[in-house]
Amino acid sequence: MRDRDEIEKLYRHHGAALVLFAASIAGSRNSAQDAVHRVFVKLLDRGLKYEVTDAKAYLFTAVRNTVLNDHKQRARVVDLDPDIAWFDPPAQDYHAQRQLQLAIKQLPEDQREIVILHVWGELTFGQIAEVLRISSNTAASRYRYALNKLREHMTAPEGSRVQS
Amino acid sequence: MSNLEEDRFEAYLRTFRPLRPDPLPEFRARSARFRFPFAWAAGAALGGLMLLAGMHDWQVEDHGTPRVVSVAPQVTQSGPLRLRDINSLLTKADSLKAGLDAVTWKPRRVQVGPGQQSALAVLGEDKEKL
Repeated sequence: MRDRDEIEKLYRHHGAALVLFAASIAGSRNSAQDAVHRVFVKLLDRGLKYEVTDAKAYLFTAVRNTVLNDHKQRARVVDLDPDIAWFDPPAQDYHAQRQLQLAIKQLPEDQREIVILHVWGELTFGQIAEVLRISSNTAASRYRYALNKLREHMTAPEGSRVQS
Repeated sequence: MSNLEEDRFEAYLRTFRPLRPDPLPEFRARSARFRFPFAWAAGAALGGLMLLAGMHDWQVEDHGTPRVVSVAPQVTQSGPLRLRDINSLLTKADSLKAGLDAVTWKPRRVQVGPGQQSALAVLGEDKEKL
């Protein structure tokens, strides 16, 4: 068992990215935060096992499983809410923030997860492969597709975007 | 998209910081303790000071019953007040305050013997400034 300080440190360092990742699956930021909290409360009760070699990948996997289990229990598809902010935009550019959220929303779920894990979770493709149970190459190629789509969406004129 | 463009776009995306989640209730109480790590020590010190002040007040009250205000002993001898006179006054006085009252400076006329001069008088006559 690792101590409480380490778990608190993990929450401080990865909490924001974990909630973002969970929100990209759950749709709602509140349920995402709830899922992340539950994962950490469990960790505090049981401790982080020594056999976990990659704590970051472990946390993202645990959060993903928790959110997917919640989805199964609720048996409903949650639409991503673009009005609830996920990011603190640079130079308070809230227009860009909304554009980015819409762009993320339009990505297929598998690509969306990979973009968030790599860009904001700062996971390597190897770690992403572990979390999503796919190969590193698949993760890398999906990431490139996703990045291109995001870029197209964010640089396209306002009226030409496809709203989903 | 080339690798360079990809890196630049990725760096741009990273300028959007994911919002911080609320702290876990389990950590919240703990972080308050860590934010003020010496709060308990400061509280204990303050408590100690208050206790000392209370004891002091109690002691003053205990001895604070009406009492006869001591009268300062007077210098009986005429002449300048010397250090040994001060010592004697302070030891004979009922209290420190009374002793200090007794040794407060009072103008005394100094008798100068025949053939002697008062240094103060000589200096007073000297008009040249040093």
